[in-house]
Amino acid sequence: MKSTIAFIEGPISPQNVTQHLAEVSGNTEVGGIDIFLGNIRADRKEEGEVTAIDFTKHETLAQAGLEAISQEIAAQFDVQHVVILHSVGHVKAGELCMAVITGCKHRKDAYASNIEIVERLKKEVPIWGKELLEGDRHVWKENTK
Amino acid sequence: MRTKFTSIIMAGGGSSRMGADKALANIHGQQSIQYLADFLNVYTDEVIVSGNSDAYHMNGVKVVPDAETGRGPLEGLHTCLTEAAHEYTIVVSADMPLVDVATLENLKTSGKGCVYRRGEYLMPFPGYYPKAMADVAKQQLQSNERSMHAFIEKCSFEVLEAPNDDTRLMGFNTPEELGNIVSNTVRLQFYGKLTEVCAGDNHLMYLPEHRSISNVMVQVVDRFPEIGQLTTRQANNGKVLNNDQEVEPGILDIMPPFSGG
Repeated sequence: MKSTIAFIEGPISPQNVTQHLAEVSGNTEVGGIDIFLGNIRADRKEEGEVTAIDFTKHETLAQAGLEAISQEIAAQFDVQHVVILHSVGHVKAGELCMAVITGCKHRKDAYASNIEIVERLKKEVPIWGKELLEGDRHVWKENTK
Repeated sequence: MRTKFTSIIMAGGGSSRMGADKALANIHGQQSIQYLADFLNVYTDEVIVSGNSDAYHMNGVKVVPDAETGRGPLEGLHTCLTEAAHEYTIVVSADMPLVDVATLENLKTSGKGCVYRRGEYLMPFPGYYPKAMADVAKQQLQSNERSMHAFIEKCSFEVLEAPNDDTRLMGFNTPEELGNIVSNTVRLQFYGKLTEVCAGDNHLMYLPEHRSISNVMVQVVDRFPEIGQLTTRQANNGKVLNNDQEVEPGILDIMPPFSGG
């Protein structure tokens, strides 16, 4: 299995996503590709509207956590090619902060493995989001859904 | 309105038995003085370092060299009390990097100065020193009396008994004593919202006798009660801890629930 795991400073550009998509698409072992993109939503909270999120991570355990998930997913599904990108630093509302691309022989593995990576990333990888609100305030992001 | 405090870190000692500047001693990748400056910047309203080294210049601190050199800690204290912006000061020593907020809060018992005594030994630092005592220090220095103990007696300090085994009052004068601190402590590193809620107390912590992570966390939550409301995960020297493993000296990461994606 080929894999690309990277933390990107700031937002993930759509051009970056399409470059990775082209690599997965060019893999002739791949018959189905699923893509999940996480976008910063201008969430309306009691304290105010979210204008951006500042992401931080554990310097070593975040990368190790993504690599472990990638390897375990490869053992669980027939994955030929996986790309996992996540932002660190400042990402404004309306910008991408996460991209997961799974390339598999067949579509069902592509769907299922992609969902599994996204769900496990949210639960298991030491990344934290500080939601910046209008008026110079902030709250800490919680993954509840 | 809350009383404002200046904190003074005494870093002007000769470090002769140590062979190197004690304030800059490396404890788990961070200098002794930095542990104190980090939380005092949040706990108090001004941080002054008494000393002459350029290396003491850190974010948020004001370095004040002695007005006259070679006259010992009372001169440094006098100079810093004179420079302090607030009426009350908390004075700590750069070679006692384990003091925490609870230790310092105990000293704020009255309007008088206050220090600890351990057995027969009167400890000048950490101490609670009203700025007004600068005049007494000046008079004493003019009469060429440099003793901190004489100063404390003259000012009728309140004296609190400190238990012999209170590791928060442990200091170091030699490489061996520094080694003892390094081999029995962890540097707490916080993440996410804990970087904010845990900024106001010391991140250097002496490990309890029984070092299972659950036992260590009882002590951590005692110092940082906000953590008790969260489900945290811990890593020690880069490895995630599971099943109540033992904590080794070094870095202890305390991680709140993750929120990536």
